[in-house]
Amino acid sequence: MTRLALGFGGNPTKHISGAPEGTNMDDLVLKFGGSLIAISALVVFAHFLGFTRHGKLSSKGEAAHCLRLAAGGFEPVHVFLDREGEAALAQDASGRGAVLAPHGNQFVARILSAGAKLSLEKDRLQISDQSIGLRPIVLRFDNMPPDWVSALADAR
Amino acid sequence: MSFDPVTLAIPLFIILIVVELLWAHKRRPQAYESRDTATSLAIGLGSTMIGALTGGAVLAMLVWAHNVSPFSIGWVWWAWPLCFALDDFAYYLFHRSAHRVRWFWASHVNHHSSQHYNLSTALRQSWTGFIALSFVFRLPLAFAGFEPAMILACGGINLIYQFWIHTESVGRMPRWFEAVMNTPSHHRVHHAVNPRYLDKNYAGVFIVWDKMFGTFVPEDDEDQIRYGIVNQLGTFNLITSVFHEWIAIAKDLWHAPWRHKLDYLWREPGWTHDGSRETSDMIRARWDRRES
Ligand SMILES: [Zn+2]
Ligand SMILES: [Zn+2]
Repeated sequence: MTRLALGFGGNPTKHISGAPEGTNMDDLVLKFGGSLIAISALVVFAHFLGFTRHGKLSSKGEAAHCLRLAAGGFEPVHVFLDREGEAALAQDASGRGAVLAPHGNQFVARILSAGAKLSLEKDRLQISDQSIGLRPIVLRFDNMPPDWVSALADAR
Repeated sequence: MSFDPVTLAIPLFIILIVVELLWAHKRRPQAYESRDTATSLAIGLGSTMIGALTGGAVLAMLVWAHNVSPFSIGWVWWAWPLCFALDDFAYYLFHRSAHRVRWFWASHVNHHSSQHYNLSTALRQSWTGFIALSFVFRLPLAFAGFEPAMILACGGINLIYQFWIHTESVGRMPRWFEAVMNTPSHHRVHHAVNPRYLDKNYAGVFIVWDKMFGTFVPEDDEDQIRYGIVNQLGTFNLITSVFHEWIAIAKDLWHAPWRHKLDYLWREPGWTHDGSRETSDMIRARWDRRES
């Protein structure tokens, strides 16, 4: 933080005495340490108040709203939600796929690349793609997903 | 007398964050995310430390500009409100360019990359503002004859004002206040990725600059705001959050044809020579076509 020597009493000369008092390294290290402790305390407090949780999509409508904000634009025609609303897969009129990947308690909309891999198992669909990073997205379900999901998975 | 308004305000910032956390716990659980808060506060701390190292150089440049100028206003009382208002206008110009010139955006983007909007978001200040030449916008004030220390004090008070508007806990302020001042409602619009809100409401303290220069959009309660950046980061990693756009610029410079390389520095974020990405104007146009 810049420490300013302000001449509040008025300074008639043009050459102000406002040069910084020199950045005292010990002072800086002390401030850094103190701030680090304060930050850690706030984050731990936030955690204990329950602010480390998954996001939940309440409806397909909410998912569609988030998907429309995907970079480059995406207009979903079909949306498939994870059982708990913790992720979503969608398809547009041209057959492109897009996902809502969980990120903290929010979601990140990503359009799937041609190299995306979708593997359909008994009660879950796993999606991995360069657009969503290292960790695959998992959508869990009770009833078999609709045909368009299986078709999208078969095509990959 | 040693006076640094931002350092003095830090305990107040911490108390208000605690109060907002308690409010969110009761009323709006999705307003905070502990890992996001950790990233925001760490960015704030890093920015403060880097500011301590570059602050001397910024002050030296202001002193130089003040000394070569034929004008000297001095410490007369009326210089304070005038300096504050003009510094806020300089902030508007800085902020507008920070969204419209990619070199400046690379530094400012970390203020916007959180998908949350709370008081901790306010502390996501840049680490690379010095490289992005942010101080240039304050030099004209020193040339105009204002005392460099007064300019920096006004800048500090401006920054403190902007802290409290980063909240969802305040709906609307009284009408007269909303008309003149930057408020939580106006600044929520600024942090939104909803197409109609992109690159609007650049104000620091007085919203009048946006109204004067055509960049004002009021918050619409029907249009639920989503916060962040157009291409959401999807990570809480501190280093990625601070440097991703600089890395993206380097990659674009490497791959771009020679005649377009400089364009990737000064054109607006999202601009490409082959149209493969979208600028905010392109996103808005696409959205308007969809609505009509
Ligand atoms: Zn901004
Ligand atoms: Zn802000």
